[in-house]
Amino acid sequence: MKISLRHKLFHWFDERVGWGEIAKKHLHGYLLPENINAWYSMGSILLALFGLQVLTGVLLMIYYRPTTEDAFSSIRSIMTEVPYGWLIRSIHAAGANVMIFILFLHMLSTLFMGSYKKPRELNWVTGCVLFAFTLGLALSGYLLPWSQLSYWATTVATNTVTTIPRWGDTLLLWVRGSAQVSQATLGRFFALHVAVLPLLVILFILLHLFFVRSTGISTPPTLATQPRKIIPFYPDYLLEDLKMIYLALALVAFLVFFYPGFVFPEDSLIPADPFSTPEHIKPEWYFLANYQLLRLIPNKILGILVQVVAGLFIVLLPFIDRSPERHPLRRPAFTLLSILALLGYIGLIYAGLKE
Amino acid sequence: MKETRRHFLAWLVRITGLATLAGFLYPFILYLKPLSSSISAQTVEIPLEEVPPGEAKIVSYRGNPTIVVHAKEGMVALSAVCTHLGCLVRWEKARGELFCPCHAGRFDLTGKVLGGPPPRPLPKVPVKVVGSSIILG
Repeated sequence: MKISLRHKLFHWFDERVGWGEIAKKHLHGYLLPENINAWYSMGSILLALFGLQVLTGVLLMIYYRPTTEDAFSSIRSIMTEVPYGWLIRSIHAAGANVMIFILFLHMLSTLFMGSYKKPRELNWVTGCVLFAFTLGLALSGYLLPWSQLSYWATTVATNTVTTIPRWGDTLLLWVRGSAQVSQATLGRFFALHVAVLPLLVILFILLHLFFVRSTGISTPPTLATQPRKIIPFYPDYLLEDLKMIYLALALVAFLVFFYPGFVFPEDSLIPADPFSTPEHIKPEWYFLANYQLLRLIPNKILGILVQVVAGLFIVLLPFIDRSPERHPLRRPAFTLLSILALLGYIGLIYAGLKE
Repeated sequence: MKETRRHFLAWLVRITGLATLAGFLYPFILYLKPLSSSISAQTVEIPLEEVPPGEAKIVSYRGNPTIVVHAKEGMVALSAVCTHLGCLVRWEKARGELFCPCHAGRFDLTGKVLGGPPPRPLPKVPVKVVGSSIILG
């Protein structure tokens, strides 16, 4: 029997690195519970979107110039002169929005299905850290086009550190690199956006996946009996994942082609002017609730303290809510409070959009 | 506990590691330290006709945005940086107030907070009119 070149190559590598065994363990031999559904594909969608962000980000770096004099004009050149530059940048901006939206869904499904509980506390904590890093990526990416939106959103966001007693003003100087948002800030945020945060995200994705594989994937707490593990990850569940990944890509494409004003608001099309704050500056939708809360709570320190406490409560949830019950209907108080908090959060976003 | 050669070597490795880390950390921290900005002139001169009565202008004074208002009471100069989250205030001529568009903070011409979330008044900047010039500082 003639052995194909592909098989020969496979065996050559297999003899040296044993990848047949690795594939068996992590692909066709990795069995998943029968009752997992589309909500369990959120992690795979996020991985795919992160890959897309890295790819489009690297392409943007080829033409982008991180100086206050050139940043805006280089972005304009990408949008108007570089072949398909508009598409690459639009995908990068829309992809960031969709990624954060899916992250919210991923965390909400984990929250309502009680998947953060023992033994998955570390999955939850690393997930929260990944969420924070992703918001950091979005914030640092904001500044890079050096538009009015970039400049003033960064001014407001960085100023929040001044609420820290005693060290606040010094910390602000270190974050910005100067008293006002300037070239020093742009350089710092560029390094954060293209190197530091992506590396940290990769590190935490690996940790998160390691914990998910160690504890086993969570299942919906709706069945009385423990479901059997019968679905192999490859090819069965991977195909399910691919279906959901394409749905997310369709959402990215929808924003790029039918709703470009959503990812590029008016203030993002005007070059930064450090001597004029725009009339109705608004952050992106995922920071609107925080921004709106700062408007509603008249005391600055209190406004930020409320958000810090809420954030810490969410991160430490598995250590606060220790009951083993996971079914949302069998823990009505928690479910009701979570729904109210979610409605409040959506309400704040809505109020911010309406203003 | 009696120190053995193995303990001594373990400590030596730890100390060497820490010293290496500190050796790298020191220049890294200094590298990230904000550079001292070259402060521009101690005084700033603006032609009087650039700020007609009832109007205002934002200029840079010692690297900070400063608002100069030609009010009925005379020339007023205050830091234009809102003490809430750093947006720039603007002159609301009709109301005779300074207004921050980000979180709706309001100030009077002495810098006092009239409403909204700003925690502190706007710092004053010394200003005088000499001939046909406004001098800050």
